[in-house]
Amino acid sequence: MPTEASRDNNRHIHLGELRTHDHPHHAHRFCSNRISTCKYNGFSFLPRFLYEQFRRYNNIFFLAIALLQQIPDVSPTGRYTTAVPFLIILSVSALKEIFEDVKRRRSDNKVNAFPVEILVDGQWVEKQWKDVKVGDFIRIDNDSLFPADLLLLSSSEQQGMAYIETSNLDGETNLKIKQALDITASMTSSDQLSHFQSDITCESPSRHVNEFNGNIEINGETRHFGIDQLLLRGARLKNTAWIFGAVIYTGHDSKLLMNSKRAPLKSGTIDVQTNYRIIFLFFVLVALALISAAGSEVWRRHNIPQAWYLSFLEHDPKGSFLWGVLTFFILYNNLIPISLQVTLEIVRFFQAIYINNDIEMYDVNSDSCAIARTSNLNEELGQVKYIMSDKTGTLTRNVMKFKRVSIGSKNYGNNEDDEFNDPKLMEDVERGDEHSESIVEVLKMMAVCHTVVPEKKEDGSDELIYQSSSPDEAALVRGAASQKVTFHTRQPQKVIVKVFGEDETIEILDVIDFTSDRKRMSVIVRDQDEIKLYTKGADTVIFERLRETSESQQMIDYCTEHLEDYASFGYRTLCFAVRKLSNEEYGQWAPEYKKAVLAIENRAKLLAEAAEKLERDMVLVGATAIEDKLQEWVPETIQALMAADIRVWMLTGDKRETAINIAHSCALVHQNTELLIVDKTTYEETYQKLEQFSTRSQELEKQEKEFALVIDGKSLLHALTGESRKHFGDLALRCHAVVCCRMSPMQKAEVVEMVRKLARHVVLAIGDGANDVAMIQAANVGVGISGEEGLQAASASDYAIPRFHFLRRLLLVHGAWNHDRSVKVILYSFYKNICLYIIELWFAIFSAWSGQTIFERWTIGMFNVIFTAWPPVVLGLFDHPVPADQIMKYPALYASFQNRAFSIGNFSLWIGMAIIHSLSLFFLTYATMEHQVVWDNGLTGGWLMLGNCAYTVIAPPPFSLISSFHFQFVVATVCLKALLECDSWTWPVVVACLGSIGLWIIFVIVYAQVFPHVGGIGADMAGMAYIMMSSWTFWLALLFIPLATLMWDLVIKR
Amino acid sequence: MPDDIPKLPRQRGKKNQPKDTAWKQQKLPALRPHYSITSAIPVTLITGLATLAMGIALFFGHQGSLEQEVLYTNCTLPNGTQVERVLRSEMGNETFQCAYNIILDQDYTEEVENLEADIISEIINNPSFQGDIKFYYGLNKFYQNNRLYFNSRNDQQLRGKINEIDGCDPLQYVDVNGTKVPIAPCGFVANSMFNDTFQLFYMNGTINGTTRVPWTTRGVLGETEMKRKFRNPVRAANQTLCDVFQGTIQPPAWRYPICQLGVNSTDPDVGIGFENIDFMVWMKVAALPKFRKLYRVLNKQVDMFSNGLPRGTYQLVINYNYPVDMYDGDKSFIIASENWVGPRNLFLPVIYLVVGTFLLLVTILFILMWLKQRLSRVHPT
Repeated sequence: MPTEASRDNNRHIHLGELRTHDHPHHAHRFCSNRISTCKYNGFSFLPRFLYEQFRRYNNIFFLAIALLQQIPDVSPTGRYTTAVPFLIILSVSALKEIFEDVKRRRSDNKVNAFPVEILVDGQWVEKQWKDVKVGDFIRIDNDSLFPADLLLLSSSEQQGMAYIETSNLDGETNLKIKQALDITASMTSSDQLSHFQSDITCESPSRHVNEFNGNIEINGETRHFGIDQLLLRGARLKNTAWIFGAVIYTGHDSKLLMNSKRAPLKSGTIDVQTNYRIIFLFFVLVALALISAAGSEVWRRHNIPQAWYLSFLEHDPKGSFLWGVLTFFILYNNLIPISLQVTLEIVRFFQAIYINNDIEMYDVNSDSCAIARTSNLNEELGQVKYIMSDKTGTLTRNVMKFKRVSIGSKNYGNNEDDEFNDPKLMEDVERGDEHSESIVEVLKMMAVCHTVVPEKKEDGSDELIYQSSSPDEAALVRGAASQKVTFHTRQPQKVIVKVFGEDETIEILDVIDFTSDRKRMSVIVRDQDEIKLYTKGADTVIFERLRETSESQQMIDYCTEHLEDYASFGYRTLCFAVRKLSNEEYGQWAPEYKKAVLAIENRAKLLAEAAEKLERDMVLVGATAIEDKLQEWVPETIQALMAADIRVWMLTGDKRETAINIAHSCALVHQNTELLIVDKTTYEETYQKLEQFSTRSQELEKQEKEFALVIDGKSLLHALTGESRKHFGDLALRCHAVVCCRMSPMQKAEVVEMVRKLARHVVLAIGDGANDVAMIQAANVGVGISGEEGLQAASASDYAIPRFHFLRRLLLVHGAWNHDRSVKVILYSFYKNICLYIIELWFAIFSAWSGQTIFERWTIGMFNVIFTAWPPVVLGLFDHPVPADQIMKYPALYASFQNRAFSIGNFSLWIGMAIIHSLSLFFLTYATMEHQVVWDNGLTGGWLMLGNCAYTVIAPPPFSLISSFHFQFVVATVCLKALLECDSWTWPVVVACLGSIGLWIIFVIVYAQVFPHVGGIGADMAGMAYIMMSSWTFWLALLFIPLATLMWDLVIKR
Repeated sequence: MPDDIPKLPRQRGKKNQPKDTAWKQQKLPALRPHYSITSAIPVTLITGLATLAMGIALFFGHQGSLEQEVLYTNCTLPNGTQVERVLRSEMGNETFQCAYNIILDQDYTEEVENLEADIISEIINNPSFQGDIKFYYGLNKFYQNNRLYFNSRNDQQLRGKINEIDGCDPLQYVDVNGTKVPIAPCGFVANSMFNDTFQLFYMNGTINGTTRVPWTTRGVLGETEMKRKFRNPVRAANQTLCDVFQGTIQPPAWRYPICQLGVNSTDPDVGIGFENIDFMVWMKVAALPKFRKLYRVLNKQVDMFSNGLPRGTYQLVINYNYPVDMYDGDKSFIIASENWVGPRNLFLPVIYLVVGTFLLLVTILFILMWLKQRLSRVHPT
């Protein structure tokens, strides 16, 4: 790292005016705050671009061909006929790269030019973000973004507190609290700040967003500071009028940019298959070159020296076998379509635009549309066989509604209302007995035991917005508020709750955070001189930490009963427990906990151990039920996807009951679906269970009954290891639906990997949260929901959609279309090249195997880049294999489209057609033109006439619309061929195809005039246009030969 | 970057709503061809009938275009002796004159067999040649399309820049005492120029009263081709053509220099040097090893031939120079009359007829299938 100090790995920063000159100036040591996400700059563009391009085999191939052509006389098509189209194609790619890079540069420039206030000579001066340097003091106002990673020095709030929103960083929408060190918090004026002197030592830039350590030395006093004082670039200041900060990391050293990593480059199965086809064609090419050169050798043996006019061939090295191989290699080189790559890139680029602009995938609520973040997986969307879906936030709305509460023996609330609404609760409170105390206790806990930050609405009303990282907590707080226990103010060490109209201040002594291992969170509060531990968490972890009394056992029984009731509706449940602490006990425990908090190594483990000491002998007070509503149209979407023969798996971190309930409600499984539940804890048990289910599933399959597999995280751990992996795979692939619950993010990714490997099918993963990122990146196609849980999944995904049900349209419409189109583009590109260039082989038979081209060299060179460049593009952009509403209505079509795939059979059919067409075109033309006196004024057409005729006939291959243009009665026949290629004709298709023919005719007319004006080129073509077009036979053949050629398609199709 | 990431979902109007245009929503009006038997029947019927009609028209047109081919590889000397595969040893050194009698007569069918043995005449039964009459010479097994042969020329030289000889290797120049004398015209194409010449005589029914059939070079080559691609070097007023070709040498297989090419012709239109019509025709390389090249066109301005070639006996006299026997080739002379169909070519009418018939058969098949469908719909069983 160039920005690191040379002595050690730490960063040393001096804050304040420099006192001596022995400090090297920071600007030279640290990188600037100007950021660049561009791939290229002026100097690096060419080498980098070329490096990227020539990593592809086919580009190396064409470069080799272009170089081979430079050997004098080896090339039958001149020296530049590959180089020029190749350069054109490279330029198109270069333009695309430049376009994308300019877009990036613009957004960089916009960011670099954001205004910020920097302290210069005691004055706040407005400058741009890019001018921010390490060691600068800057001032940030409310709702502004931080331009760099800052050390929080002081703020407008007391004790240097500041609230920040980090949704750009981690997707969490809750506010986080940062607090300045007490020794700097007092500097609240620019005057104080300009006299501030200190030295900072901190770690060198790293990507750890949640870790930071440093020391600040002020007047000889050294203090430690950490992540609580660090304001990260990309975060936003909230609810705080202003802060002063010192710049620690700038530009690319900041944590945000250290973390901005491009998602792994995925390539579609089609690309892989195309590569195989290209390699296959390469060998065909080599074989053809060898055969032709051998033919040439044989011809020479028989005819030389008798053919006196060719006598020079006897000794000329250019007649040798090796020379012949090279010549034919060059002659046939375009069997590998030179323009395929760039055509596909263009087509995919626009296909992605279609996805981005689809109004049917626009969500009004979030004002966002689908985003194709990569375009090279467009056709992969049409090949999906497995969908791995997250539950929370993806299938469900993640809008939590507090629904019911169980307190003591009573079960409050109902399932019908949208939110908790039970007047009995308040009535019971007013009775004032023991039971009502526990009700108040529960409501208080709901209002206190959390990390929610209340925010006043901007319009000044008393309504509160609860900012929370967990929607469950916000739902509970709202639920408590609805029962008149309103949490409205949070200060660093206390919360103020309005309980039945009176403000109560509750001191928060400690917060023991929720972790997925602990499955619970606790707060320790001092409420009216009483120290209490409030814990809420999953039933399993709470129940085992209760004080064991007969009373509590009864409570547990009631509670369990209620919890089962809740779970049957798919609610999320939480248990609440409380424990009173004596001052001594807390006094003993607190330092221990503090130590764990400050620990650097094993912090999580130490914290959990410390917490464990306190979280015991608790008293259960109640349980809550929160409803997580399904996203709109989820059951319909799932049904449609399953009808499209896609297997849907649900992978969730939630518990089994909830998962199964959601699976029922979203139509993943039905009432009569047999559930095969695996919930074992040891390897042997899991293995046996899997084996047992394996046989069971075969029986069920025979009886044609539906069955689904349910497996939890623990069993999955065993199911994925060793022998049982195979059993599990077999079983899982046989099931119509699979529900995996209690999954960790890594397990989700592992399951995806396993299915990818076992089934060799395209797996799509869809999720919305940070816990789905691994799965999204592991899948063939990752789809992120750009929804409520932030944006991490969306930023890691290949496609982001605002709503789950858009997946239906994304797959069924865009996927099926794009796949069909791209396959057509690829096959058509192969087809047109083979059809054209195999004619050279037939001609070789009649041209002494000398490698003479039948077509004029420049027309052949421009074949791919001009005359037939557009038909594949329009095919890729405007073909509708099936109307959108039809495939949405009949999803089974999706599966049938997969069968139209890029299979070897399909490929051979196209290649076969290409060969038949070329044979037909060549020999029909040959027969028609046998005497080469084809026009009535008797001019002998010569060599080019044959070529031109064949060429005109082939130039617009499948869309020989010119025929229909001139001769109405061929329309039907051409339509039949067009039916094979293009399922719907829109005017761009027609224009592109007609236009390509027009281009060719214009080209002939212009080119025929070129000689002798431009160098020596075009001599062969001089005057050809008139001759060709004044020939009756030409037009007759133009009409007839495509017709006769396309009859093959007709015959095969029928 | 911060502002690139879409903001968090809140009600924010419809700023990002895509435009509902046909282009963006892929809703351009489309013609979706549906193929059913009912829609296919009229299509195949009309196409089939049209193709058939075209085929019949072509066939009759074809009947009107006639041709006579005289294979003269085995030369028949005017005195009646046939020389088989001549000139093997004396390639290019001696000129033979051969003659063939051709009888153009409608009613002479029977005699073909009888007269085939006749060494001096080939009699073929044909109606009188009327209309545009063209004379071709044809070569077989001659690979003008060999790549190295094909490229062995310099088009700039042919436009008068006689020292441009790039690409003609190894027939670029001749080393005369250390100086490189460029060959004009250079290259193998020019070197192997066809140099047989023909004369055709109308026998008027008697042996003695012969009339030379008048022919012209007009219309043999397109104007643009002639003018743009072939040009003799510019010469000053007092220079002869041989003066401007000074400093070049003829191709090795040629008997005289380029400046004398066409000098002996009685017809000034034949042209000399690079602009010689036979030279230009030869330089237009043929695509296939069996080819014909247009030699002359009948001059109908001469009274006796204003309607074409009258019936009768003709004698073809050939100056036999060009060696083809070494590579087993053939030479022929063709008299052809062409109407709107173009040259005589049975292929087009036949293929039209075949395709037309096929389509009609398919139509019938479709009609049968359609009837079957209807019947089964009316009486569901």
